[in-house]
Amino acid sequence: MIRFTDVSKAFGAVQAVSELTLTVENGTVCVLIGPSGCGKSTTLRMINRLIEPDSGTIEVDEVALRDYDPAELRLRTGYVIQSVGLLPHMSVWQNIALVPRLLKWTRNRRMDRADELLDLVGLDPATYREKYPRQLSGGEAQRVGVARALAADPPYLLMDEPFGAVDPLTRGVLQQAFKEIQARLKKTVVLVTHDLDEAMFLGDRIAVMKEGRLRQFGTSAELLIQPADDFVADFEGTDRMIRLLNTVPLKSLTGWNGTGSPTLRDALNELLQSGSATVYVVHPDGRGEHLDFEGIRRMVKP
Amino acid sequence: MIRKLRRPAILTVLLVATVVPTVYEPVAKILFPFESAYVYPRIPMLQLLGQHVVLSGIATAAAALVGMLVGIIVTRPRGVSLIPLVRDLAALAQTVPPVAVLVLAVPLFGFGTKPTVFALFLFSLLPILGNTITGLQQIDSGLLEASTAMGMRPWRRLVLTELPLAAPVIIAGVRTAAVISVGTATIGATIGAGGLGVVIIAGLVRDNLAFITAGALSAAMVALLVDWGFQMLTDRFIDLSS
Amino acid sequence: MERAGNAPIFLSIIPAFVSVFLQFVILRPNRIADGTGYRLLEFGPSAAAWALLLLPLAGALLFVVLGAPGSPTGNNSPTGKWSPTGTCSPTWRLGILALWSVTVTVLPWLLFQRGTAVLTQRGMIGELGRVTPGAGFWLLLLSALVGWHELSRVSRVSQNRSQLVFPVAAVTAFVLVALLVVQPAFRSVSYVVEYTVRSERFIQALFEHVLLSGTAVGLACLIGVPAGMAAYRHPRLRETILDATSTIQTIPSLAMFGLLIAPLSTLSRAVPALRRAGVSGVGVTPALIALTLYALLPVVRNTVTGLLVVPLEIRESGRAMGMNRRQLFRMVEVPIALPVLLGGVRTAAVQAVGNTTVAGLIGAGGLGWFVFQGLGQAATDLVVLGVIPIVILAVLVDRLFGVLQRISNHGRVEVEVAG
Repeated sequence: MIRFTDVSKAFGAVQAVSELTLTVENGTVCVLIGPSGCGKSTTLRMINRLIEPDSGTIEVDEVALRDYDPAELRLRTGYVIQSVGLLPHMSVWQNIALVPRLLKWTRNRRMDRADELLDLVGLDPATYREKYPRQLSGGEAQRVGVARALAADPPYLLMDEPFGAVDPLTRGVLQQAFKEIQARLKKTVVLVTHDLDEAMFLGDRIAVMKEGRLRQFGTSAELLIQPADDFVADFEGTDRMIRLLNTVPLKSLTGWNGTGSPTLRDALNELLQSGSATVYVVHPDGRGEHLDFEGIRRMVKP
Repeated sequence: MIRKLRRPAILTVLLVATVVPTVYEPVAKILFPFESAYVYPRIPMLQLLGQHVVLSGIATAAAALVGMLVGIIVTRPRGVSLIPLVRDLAALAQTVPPVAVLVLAVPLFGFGTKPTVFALFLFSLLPILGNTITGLQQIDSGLLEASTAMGMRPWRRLVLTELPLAAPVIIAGVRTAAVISVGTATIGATIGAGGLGVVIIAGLVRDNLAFITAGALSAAMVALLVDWGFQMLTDRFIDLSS
Repeated sequence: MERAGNAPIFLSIIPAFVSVFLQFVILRPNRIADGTGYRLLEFGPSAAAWALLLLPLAGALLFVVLGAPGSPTGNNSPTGKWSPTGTCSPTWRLGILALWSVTVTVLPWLLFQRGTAVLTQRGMIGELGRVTPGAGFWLLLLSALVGWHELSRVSRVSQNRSQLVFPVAAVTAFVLVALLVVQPAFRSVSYVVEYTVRSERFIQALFEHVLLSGTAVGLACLIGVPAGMAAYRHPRLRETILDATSTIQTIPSLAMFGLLIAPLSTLSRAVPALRRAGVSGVGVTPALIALTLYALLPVVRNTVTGLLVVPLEIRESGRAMGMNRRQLFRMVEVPIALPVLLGGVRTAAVQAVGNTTVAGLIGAGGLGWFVFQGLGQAATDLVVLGVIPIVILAVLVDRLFGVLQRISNHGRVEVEVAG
């Protein structure tokens, strides 16, 4: 668990973070989102002590950060950045196995672990393990970056705009892959992004920040239904209700051909596309029903 | 592969031809029939070659050690304020001819090998130090941050990330230093340091073309071979990283 | 942003302190003898007083610049530990640094003059006697160098008004030193003694040196620039040309001279016409050829790089405008490539000045003659008399071309490519 209590940080005259109080529960994904300069990256980097706060406390597992040795802390915290930061003079498997190497694992154990992780992120070990970073595409490199962060099985994962440097198609694929991995591993993740769709897709709870202050912290539904102020509402955009539809998952939807699981928004889309009066959906609890427009509307605005 | 070896083969053959008396003497007799002597009598050429290599080798090695050390220190957070000074000092020192340093070392150390090694050391220091600083500074800061964020302590980060990435540039500096060392060691003969320059000077004094050519050719070959060696090393490194 | 670290200031203060304990003046009865050194404190009370002036000034500098213990700093130190960035305002810092730099520049000359005066008073300088500056003197000068460097760096970073500090301080120091140096007391300085003994030869050697290196660089440009342009236009040729010139550069200068002597000797012996024309095995001919060859690489390489650096878009816009080849060359390529080329000529010139020194060994004249004569006679003053002008010449040439580069670049940031 990560807990911020009244944390502030200034760079010269600029107050990057003001009195931030927020708790990230174990096994959840917390997304920090906001416009440029809102302090989200700064906040992230205070967790693994790349930046030190001016005031306030940050606790990880009930222990204050400053009571941890920074290097030890970082060995237990995976860190993924937009530019990935793979060391160009090391092969893919050597990059992935870096933290295990710092932890003095044996070579065999490291190589096995690298293969395991390549598999996890969807890359064939035999093909990729001896490649060098310059031979990888953007998407492949990003996957390796995630694999590297997970190598020593850290309880915490920090991600700073991890999918920002790839094209939208690849981004979608990577987001889906991440969601699946997280479902399996149940890490405690703090992720920074400026893309609201990504935030709502990946995040269990979302922290909206502006100019260093936390504006709202809650689930996507909470944010959409009850935005804390005008800023949050504006940030969500004029299609708030459509987004809200997107947060309601369905088990299946007749006539739908997408990847992953469909949502209520896909149901609306299907309804409009097919021209029929209703669509047939199966809810996650197994219940099936025919939905028309009124039915869909009732699900989000009871 | 064979094509690559063509150059060092030629260089080595020429070197051997000048340094081994049994080979050189007949050749010189043909080229310079009017000379009285053909092979430098006092000290065997091989020994002079050895002196030459040892002198420049020690100086370059010492300069590499010190230069890299200082370069590393200066690029650590505590030493950063020294960088402008070091850079400008190096730039200024670049304009000083190596000969000047060599010659000015005499009042300090007298004649012989000591001032030569010292001067060569000082002169090799500059390119190595400058390149170490440049090499370490041009590393993408994102990579440095990723390394720290992973949990590497400063020492580990230096060894695993910074040095390997700076290596090509640093090696280029050592190469420059080595070539300058070998070149200036030739002039070291004038202050009594031995080396292949002795033969050239003897030739100049006695007006003996065979001596001059023997000394000049061998010195040139040594320099070119050293340069070629570093070229091979650099190519290997570029293959590895880049 | 430049870090206001204090390491350079320490590097300026420490040598100054150490110099007080080292030899300041070395008295030698003649050119060859080693002589006896005298330390600052042996010059009597006034000299000691100077030394005492140094200490409080340095102390004030340390205190003001480093800040008092326990003073809070900005950024990243919430614990309020003492951090050496100081609470001193930038203007004060600048002022004290300027004062320090001027003092440490003028002081060694003052002290040296004092030492010489004392020795003259005691009648210790005989007819051939001379005085050489000792380690203490050079160390103080080193202190000054570092101090000036730090001052120029800080004044560049500070506010507008403090922009005046550096030039004003520099001019003051220069004037004070010049006033001191012209005094008769300095006539017994060893280097001056050597000079007065053979001033004609010196001027001749200086002239030869400049002429030789200048001609070599000139020839290198004449050959090198067209060669560079050819290399640029024919990529196949490029590698060969660059490889050849780079090979030449690797060969030690003395060896290069040596390699040229044999064929030239044979040639001039075989063809008497050449010999009458002045071509011979030793002397100027091999030196000039070798020096020109050495100057070729920087010139050729920078010509190629300079032309390569012209951006494609600019080239295309020129052509789209209707420029023909010659107009394109004159109005687009030359102005852009010129600064880079000048950089190459600069390197070539500086190296040429240095390499010409060695030419003194093979009878080509120049300041190298003094150097090697001095070495042969174990007379270090002679050597220094040869070396110092060479170094000054090299630095002057470097600065001159630097200015030319900046002018050709219309004041933009210097473009430094290749070596």
